[in-house]
Amino acid sequence: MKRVLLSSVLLIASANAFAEAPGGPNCGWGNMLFDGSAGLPSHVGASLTNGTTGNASFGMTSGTNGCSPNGTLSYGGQRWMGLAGVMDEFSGDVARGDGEALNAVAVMIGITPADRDYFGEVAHSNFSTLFPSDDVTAEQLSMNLNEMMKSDARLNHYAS
Amino acid sequence: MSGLIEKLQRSTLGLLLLLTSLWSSQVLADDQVIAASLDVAAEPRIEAVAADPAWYRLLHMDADGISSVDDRRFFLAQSADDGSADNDHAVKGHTDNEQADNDHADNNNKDIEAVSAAQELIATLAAMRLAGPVGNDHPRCRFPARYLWLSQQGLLNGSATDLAGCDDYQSWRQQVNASSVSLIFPSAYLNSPSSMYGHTFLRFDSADADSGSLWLSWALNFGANVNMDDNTFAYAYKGLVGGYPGQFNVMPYFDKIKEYNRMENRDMWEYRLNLSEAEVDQMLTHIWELKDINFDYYFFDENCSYRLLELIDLVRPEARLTEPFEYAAIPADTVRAVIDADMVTSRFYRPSHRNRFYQELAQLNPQQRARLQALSVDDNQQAIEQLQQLPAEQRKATAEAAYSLTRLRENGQVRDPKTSRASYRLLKSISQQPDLGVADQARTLLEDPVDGHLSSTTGLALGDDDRGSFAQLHYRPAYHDLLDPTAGYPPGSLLQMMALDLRAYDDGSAQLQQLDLIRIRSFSPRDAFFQPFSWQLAVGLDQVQSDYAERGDQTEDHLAGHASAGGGVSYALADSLLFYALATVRAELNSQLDNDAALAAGINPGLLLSLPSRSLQLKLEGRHDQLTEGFSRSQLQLAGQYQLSPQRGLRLSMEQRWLDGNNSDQQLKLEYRVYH
Repeated sequence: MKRVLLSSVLLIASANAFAEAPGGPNCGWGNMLFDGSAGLPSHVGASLTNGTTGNASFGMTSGTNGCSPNGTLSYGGQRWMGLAGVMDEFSGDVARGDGEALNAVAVMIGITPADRDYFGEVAHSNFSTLFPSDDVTAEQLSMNLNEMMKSDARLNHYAS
Repeated sequence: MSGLIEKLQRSTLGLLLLLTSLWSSQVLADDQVIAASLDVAAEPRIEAVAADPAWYRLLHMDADGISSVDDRRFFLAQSADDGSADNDHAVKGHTDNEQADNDHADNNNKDIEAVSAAQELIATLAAMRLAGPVGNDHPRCRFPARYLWLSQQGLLNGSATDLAGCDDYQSWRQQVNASSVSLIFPSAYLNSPSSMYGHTFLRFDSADADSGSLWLSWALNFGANVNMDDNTFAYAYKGLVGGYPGQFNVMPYFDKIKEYNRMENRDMWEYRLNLSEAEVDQMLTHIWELKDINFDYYFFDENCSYRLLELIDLVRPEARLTEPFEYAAIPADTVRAVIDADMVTSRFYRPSHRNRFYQELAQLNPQQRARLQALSVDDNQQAIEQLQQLPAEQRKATAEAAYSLTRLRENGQVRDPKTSRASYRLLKSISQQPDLGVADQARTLLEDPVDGHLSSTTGLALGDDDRGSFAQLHYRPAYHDLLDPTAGYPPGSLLQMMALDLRAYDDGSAQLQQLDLIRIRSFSPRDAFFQPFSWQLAVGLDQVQSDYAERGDQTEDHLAGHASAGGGVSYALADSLLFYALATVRAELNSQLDNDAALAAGINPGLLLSLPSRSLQLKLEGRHDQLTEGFSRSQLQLAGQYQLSPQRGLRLSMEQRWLDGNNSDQQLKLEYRVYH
């Protein structure tokens, strides 16, 4: 039992001590569009054994991409961190005008079911504003999304 | 600066908490506990509850009381010294736990002595009744499913509300806020040994997952927890024989979609289970107990699929899902078992990125296709401008297919700024093309793997060759060959393990005709867009001819051991016609050869015609091997299988063999095979 205590307390302690700033080396928040997928979950060992390679999180800190969940990002709250993990899929869905990644981001932001299709339409027609270049980072994208919602009467109240 | 101070403060707080908890658990390990366990052992219902199958399931014990958990942290009882019923010392201090945490992959856990179900029951009751204030470190918070189940049995008087003080557990439950469970089956992947038969994991969906997005659901995966310092061979070896401990992990479902659909280009099938909210709740309560816990992990029996069945059995014991899979659990078979138990309410198909591209491609006319190459290179600006030459309703689909192609080619690469710009230009173009209401591309539903033929097969054949008439028995525990019905299996693939052929001739002699320890063939056709490699390998025993011309002997067959491999190309000549050609090497152990061994180099071309609508597969294949002993073997085979029903087939094969170019042997064989 002591061992259980020890590891869970260490987990909490280390999660705080080593939390990264957005865009830092271990913080996916700084992901660019089309960040290479080399080395993601593709490590040969993980693939050979259906397993994981360390850092098993058990869902406890996921969605933050190694960033501090209490970082300085004030717009939209911590769940926006998940955006960094679905940048590629989200950009494709916005360009096409629908898709699961687009819907997932709408849910993350807290858009109610009645407004989700509308959110998708607005995002689609604002593709070039949301994604001004291929170097756009998840952080900039979240700011652009926020601006987009701010300037739309129906989505205004979802912005921060 | 203030952030740093805050971090330091938090770390200090963590350290303090840690010290406090070490101290308190030592207090717990005192005489109190031993006294309490004595009292517990004397209670009347203990024996009956300890023998309850549900208690065994909570401890992952088989009928003999052997737990597949390989981790001291999972057991509150001290291991038995001699297996006697001396329960007095069932609970002692936990000093032995010191080693348990630091042997991640060294596998030192193997010396864990078995704790009996009764000992663990007594220790659990004693610890749960005695331990101090309810917090993360309390046995109730560590083992909430045990706590609730023992309360139901009347041995504890607790309820779910008593777990309110378990902060970590509660916040985890809040995060993994599920009301339904789906079984997920990423299809077979021949290029990775552990995934040759596919893989399964569970997905936990919140109540509004359907209206929101399944991407935000949580995946529960059981797999080996590998040691990053091992090299590739150690990975493969340990992964297969159980050198790594298995652990459960929870991760966002979209990470799994990316892993399978995108990185490995595997189709995924999703099967929603009809578990009630109460059953889902019970399952999650137990899953928390398995956090960071090491299990034995073996490729065939105690694998990912078996562990998931255990979890379902825990909340639906009457389904008895694990029973047929004690010796081997092939993922597709376990999914079939769940379907047969009437637990699946709906299915969903999630195509791989590659298959999605080919679906998009199928919608394009030749003029659109002709533009894809120019659109998908780094310098695609002009090609994008020229999209305007196409009729307006064709532009979007063309740009989408080109974008999919670009991303597929980039799969597994590091970010290349030029390619990123090209991809971005395509995306921008897609977003600007008018959506003229062209019907959304229908998802071509591939055959569900569970609707394919069953995994093992037995065949009975009658045949005739130059030696005489024969009868032949074929048995193959797994999995699929080129002439088996293709529905639900990767096209152009063969995977056999321990496939056995025994033959008896009419002169009374009998022989082992062939034994494949393992045989894999993976033919991926090349086309204008992708040029994959086709390959094969085999290790086993087969009957071969050797050259006795010098000695004047007859050309009788003899059993030889071999390891063979080949690499080459394949092309789809038509929708249902595959051509392949491979260069091969073979190492052979054969007592009939001068040196008892030889190497061979050869070629192995073939044609494979598959007509599922007519229940027919046909194969024409040639082989030519030049041996280092100075002679050659050639073979031409025409074979076909006609499907009488989904699980019964008739297979006819004709074979001609040559030794050093001289016509030596003909064989005709008719086989009836049943899949089971």
